[in-house]
Amino acid sequence: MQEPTREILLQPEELRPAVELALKTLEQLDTILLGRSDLHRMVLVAILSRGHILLEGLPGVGKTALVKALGQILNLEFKRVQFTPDLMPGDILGTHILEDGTDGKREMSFHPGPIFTNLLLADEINRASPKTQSALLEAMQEQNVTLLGTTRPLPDPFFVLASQNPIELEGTYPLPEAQLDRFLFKLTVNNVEVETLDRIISTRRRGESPQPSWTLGAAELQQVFAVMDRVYLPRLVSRYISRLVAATHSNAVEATEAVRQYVVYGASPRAAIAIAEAARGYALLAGRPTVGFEDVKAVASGVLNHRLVLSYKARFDRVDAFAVIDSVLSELDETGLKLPADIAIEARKE
Amino acid sequence: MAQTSRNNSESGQFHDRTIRRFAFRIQGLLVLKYLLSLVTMWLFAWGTIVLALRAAAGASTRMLLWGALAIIPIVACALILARRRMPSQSAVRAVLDRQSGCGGLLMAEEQTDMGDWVARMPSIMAPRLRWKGRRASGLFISAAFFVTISFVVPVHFAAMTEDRPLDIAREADKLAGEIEALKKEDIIEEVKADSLEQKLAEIRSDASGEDPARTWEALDHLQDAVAKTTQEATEKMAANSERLGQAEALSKALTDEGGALDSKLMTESMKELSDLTQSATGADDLADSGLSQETLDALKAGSLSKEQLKQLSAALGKSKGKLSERLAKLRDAGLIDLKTLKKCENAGKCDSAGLAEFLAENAGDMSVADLMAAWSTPGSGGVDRGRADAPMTWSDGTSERGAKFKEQVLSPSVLAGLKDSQLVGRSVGAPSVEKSGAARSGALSGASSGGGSAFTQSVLPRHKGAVKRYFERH
Repeated sequence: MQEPTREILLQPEELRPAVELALKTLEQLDTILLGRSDLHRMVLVAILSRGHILLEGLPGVGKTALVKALGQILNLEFKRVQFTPDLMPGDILGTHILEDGTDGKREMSFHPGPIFTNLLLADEINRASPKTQSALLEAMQEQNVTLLGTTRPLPDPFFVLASQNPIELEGTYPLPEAQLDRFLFKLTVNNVEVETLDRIISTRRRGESPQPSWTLGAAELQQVFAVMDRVYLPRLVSRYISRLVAATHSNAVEATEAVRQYVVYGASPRAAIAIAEAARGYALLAGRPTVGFEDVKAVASGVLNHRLVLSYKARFDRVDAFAVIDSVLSELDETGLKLPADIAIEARKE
Repeated sequence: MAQTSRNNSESGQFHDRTIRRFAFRIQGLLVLKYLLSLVTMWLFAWGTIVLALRAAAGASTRMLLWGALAIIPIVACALILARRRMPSQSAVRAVLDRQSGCGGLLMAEEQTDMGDWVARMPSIMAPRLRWKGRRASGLFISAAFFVTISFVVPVHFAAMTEDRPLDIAREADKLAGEIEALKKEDIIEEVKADSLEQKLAEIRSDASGEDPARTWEALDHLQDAVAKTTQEATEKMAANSERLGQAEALSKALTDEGGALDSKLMTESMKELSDLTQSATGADDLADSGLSQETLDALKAGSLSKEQLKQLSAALGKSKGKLSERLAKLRDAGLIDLKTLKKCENAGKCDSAGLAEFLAENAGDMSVADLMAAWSTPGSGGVDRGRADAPMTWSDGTSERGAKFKEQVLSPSVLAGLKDSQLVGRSVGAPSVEKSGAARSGALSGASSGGGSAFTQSVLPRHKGAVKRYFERH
C-alpha cells in the first residue's frame, strides 16, 4: 500500500522573497510613521491576511496618516469617506442615475461609490447611522456590492480600515456585533512617546509624512499573498486556536474564572478563522513557514478584544476585554499537555 | 535531493528519539508520583491494620510483614494510572517545539516534508521536568514512620485481648493486715487464718479487668468473713471484760465490805467470784498477771483471804487491762471502730461499793449468782444505776409539784381571747371547762306567771367583742 503523499513545506528560497517584501513594507511604514512598530506590524499582518481593521484612538494620533501611508506603499487605490450621521448607503456604495444613452434612449446607469477601491478609509465609522454602517456588511464579507438586484464585485484586494473615536460618544452609533465581527483586528492607536514626538517635530514640517521611498507592486503583493496561503498551520496549533476561542465562552470546559465571571458572549467561529489567518501573517513576518504558538498568542488579543461581549459586572469591576483575554492566554496550556498540577515543565537554563 | 531526503530522515529520527526520551521521563515521573501517593496510602492503611490485628487478635509481626507484598499491585496501579495520564507524542512534540523556540517547525515535521528547513531548525532541547513533591515526600516519610511504629510498638500498649489486671492491691493489703492482726491476737484459728490468706491470694491472682464485679464480690465475701470473726471475737471479749469487771468489783466488794456479810453470803460470793473468774479468764492468764498458785488454789476452794482478794482484784484488773490492750490493737488494725472499743471498755466498769451495798441490801432474797445477774441487769438499783433500757414498772402517778410545763407560743386568736378573760381563782386541779354554747334558762325573779323568762347564755371570750358591738348598735 502506497503511503499518502506528505505535504511539502514552503521552502526557504520560496519564503524568503515574500518575507523580504513584507519586511520592506513594514520598514517603509516605520519610516513614514514614527514610533509605532508594533501597530504597523499588526496592520501589515491584517493586510497579509486580507482582513479589515478597526482603528480606535483619540483624534490626531495618526490613524488617517497610517492608512494613507499604507495605501501609498502598497500602491493601492485609496479612498476616504468621512462618516457623518446624514451619510446614506448610496453615498458609499454608489447609485443609479437615469441618463440619456447613445442610442437616444434613457437608461439607468450605475455610478459606483467610494467603496469601489482597494483601500477604503471609513473615518469615524461610528458617527454614521446603523443603516449606512450596514451597507458595509456585504462588501466586507463577500467583497461584493448588490444594488437593484445586480451584484458587482469589488476590486481585489479590498480592505476597509475604519477608525473610531473612543471619546465624544454623544450622537454616535456604536457598531453592532455583526459589524464588529467582520473586522479582523481592532487595534488601539495610542499616543506616542516623548522621544518620538520630539523626532516628529524636529524632522517633519507641519507634521507632513515623507513619501515612501519604495512601493510594493500589485504583482508583488499577489506573490506575498500566494506565499501566505502556503504558510503551514500545524494540527496542534489549530487545535490550540480552537480551544482558545472556545475558552472565551463562559460555559466552556476550559473557560477561566475571568471568562466565567465577566463574559456574556464569547468569540464566534469567525474569530478562530481570523486568528489562524492572522497567525499565518505573523509567522510570515517572522520568516517562518509554519505557525507556532507564539504567533497565535501575538495576534489573539487584537482578534478577540472586540468580539467579546462583557457583562455589566466587568464594567463595574473595571475589567476590560484585554484583561479577560490575558487570563485565557496565560491559563490555557498551548500544548494540551495535561500533567498533574505538581509537575511543571521549566525551560533549561543555557 | 537524495542527500536532503537522507538528512531529513536522520534529523527526523533524532527528533523522534528526543521526543520519546522526554516522554519516557514524563512517564517515569508520573509513575514515581502515583507510586509514592499509592504507597503512602497503603502504608497508612497497613500500619492501621497491623495495629488493629496486633491489638485485637495478637497477630505476630512476622505474619503481618506479608502486607509488604501489596507493593506489587500498587506498582501495577501506578503504571496504569501513569499510562492513562501520559500525554500523546504529539503533545510532547508540541512541548519541545515551544520550549526550543521552533515556531511550529517541529510540529510540522510530524506531518510535512521539511525540505531544507531541517538544517535551519533550532536545536531541540528537552526542558527540565520539576516535580513539587515536598508534600508527597513528607507524607510518605510520615507513613513509613507510622508503619514502622505499628510494628515495633510493644504489644501491651495496644493489646486488647490480654487480661488487664484489676488493681486491688490496696484493699487486699488492708485485708491481709486485718487477718494478720487477728492471727497475732489469737482471735482467729491458724487453720482458718491460712484458709483466708489462701483465698486472698487467689483473689489477687484472679483479679481481672474483664470481670471486676467477680473480683469485688469475692473480696467483699472475704471481708465479711473477717468482719464476722472480728465481731464474734469482740463480743466475746466484751463479755469477758464485763465478767472481769464484775469479778473485780465483787473481789473489791468482798475485800472492802466482807466483814458486813454473813458467812453464808460470803461463801456464796466466794464461789461466784471463782466461777466468774474462771469463765472470764484461765488460770494461766491469772498466773501471768502475777497471781500466786496459793491464791489460785484458794480461789478454787473459795477461801480467799483479804490479802488474796486484793491480789485477785489486782490480777483481774491487769487481765482487764490486757483485754483493753488487745481491743486497742484491733482498733489500730481497723477491725473495730471507736464506738465498739468504748462499749467494750464500759462493759468492764463496775461500781464495787454499789455492788457491796446491793449485796448487803438484798442478801437472803436470792442467790449470789441471781444477785449478780440482777446487779448487772440495766436499771436495777436506782436512777443512776445502769442504762435506760431497764424494764418498765408501773407504780403511783408522778407528782406535779415542782413540775415544769412545756412553754408554747399561743396563736393570736387564743391570745386575744385570754385578754378578755377574768381571773376567777386558782386551783391545783385541772380547770373544769363548761361545754361551749351551754345555756341555762328560767323565770325572771319577781315576775308574775307568764310574765317572761330569761336565758343565760355563756359567751366565749373570743365572741364577747362581737356581742358587745351588737348591743351598742341597737
